[in-house]
Amino acid sequence: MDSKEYIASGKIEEYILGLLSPEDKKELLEFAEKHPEIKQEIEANQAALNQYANAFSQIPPEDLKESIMAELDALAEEEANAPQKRTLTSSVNQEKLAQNTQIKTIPKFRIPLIVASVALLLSLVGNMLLYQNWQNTQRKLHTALLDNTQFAQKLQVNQTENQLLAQKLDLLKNPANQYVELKGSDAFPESKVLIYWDDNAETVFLQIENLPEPPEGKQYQLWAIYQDKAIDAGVFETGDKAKQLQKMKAIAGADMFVVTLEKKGGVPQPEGQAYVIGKVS
Amino acid sequence: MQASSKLLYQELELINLLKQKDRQSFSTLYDCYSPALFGVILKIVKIEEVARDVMQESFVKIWKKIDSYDREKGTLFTWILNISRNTAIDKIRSADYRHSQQTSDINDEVTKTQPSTQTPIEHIGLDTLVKSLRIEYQEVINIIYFKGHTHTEAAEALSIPLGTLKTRVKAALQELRKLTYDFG
Repeated sequence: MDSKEYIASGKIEEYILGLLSPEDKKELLEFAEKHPEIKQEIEANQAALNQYANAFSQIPPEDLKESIMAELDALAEEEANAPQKRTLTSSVNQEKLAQNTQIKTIPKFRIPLIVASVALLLSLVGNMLLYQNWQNTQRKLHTALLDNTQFAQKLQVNQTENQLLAQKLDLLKNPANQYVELKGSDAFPESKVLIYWDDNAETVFLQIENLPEPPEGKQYQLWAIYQDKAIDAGVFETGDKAKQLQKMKAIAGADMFVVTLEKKGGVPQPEGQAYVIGKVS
Repeated sequence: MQASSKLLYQELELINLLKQKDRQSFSTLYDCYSPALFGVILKIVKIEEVARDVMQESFVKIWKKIDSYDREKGTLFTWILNISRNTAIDKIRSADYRHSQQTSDINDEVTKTQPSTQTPIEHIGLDTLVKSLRIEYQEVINIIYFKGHTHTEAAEALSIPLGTLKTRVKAALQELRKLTYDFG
């Protein structure tokens, strides 16, 4: 019998409907083993019959699954509890089963591992971002604090300047005060010092507008020239305090004011070079 | 083609797990095929209570016999469908069932004449498949496939010669193949 005859015989249809005798069935399957077209024919008929059977589908009662799974669980437990009953040959199968189970459990084991790895990675990335953020914040805070300090310093400077201006304003507003501008001598044309003198109260205030820093061991000294005599009005500070109003010694009368550079602490009569000079108007 | 090879892969994977008696795989098997199996069982035994028992017995058999299943000899669905069908046919041949049937003939008639209250889950196309198949072909398939009758029994039940029955069986399946190809 060749393939065509086999297909024409109707044995394939009988086989899939379960009509063939065990001998005929065995013969058909052996034949199909050697002839792919027969195998294909069997599969095609089977698929059609399966579809037909499928057409009668009914959803089983909801509780049926639970009942079936419970029985399968019981069977599994039974099998697990009686492994010693198995013969020697089946221990090989058991070993295989164990191997299979192992193969099967690896992915199960891996899933949490992969999940954990991903979580860790995300966490690390998150931490890095947070750390960078934190560092940025730190840097910004540091800058802000620095700015703040600078502002505070500026504020202090401003406040000092304000005080100075207020004092100056007070001095200027007071009509008793005479304002004397001491200008640079020929040797020091850039230098300038301001004097506020109240001849009634005999108070003298000095403010440096511009004076070179005195060398080590030297200090500027203010003199009131009155009736061709030099009267000591005291030494004064330079540098940071240069812009502040400095209260000098009391002067009752003056025609002009002169600043000379003397040795530190001052001298009774001027010896050094004159830097600035201004006449009282 | 890719989709079908994916399905094949999934089936092979499922078979592998079933052979290891993996619990989840049996749960998956149930979810995938229980409507088809229950439908066929119900079609054979007709009584829901009996169908439940047969379904349960069938899954126990599947569980116990899965080691002997050979993918080379047919698809998983064919295999479990045949187990369920044979279990159901064995049931209607059993003395218990025959005895209960005698007392519940009226119930059986009710089941036969009234449409089931349960809705078939499969596509309308498959429902149409059955309706599209000529009634004499349906008869011949049903009497052999769902009642488990032999050639001779079937020929007798249908009152046709044995040769005619054999020709009709072949024609029925050819027609079914054509239809499933159309509906497929």
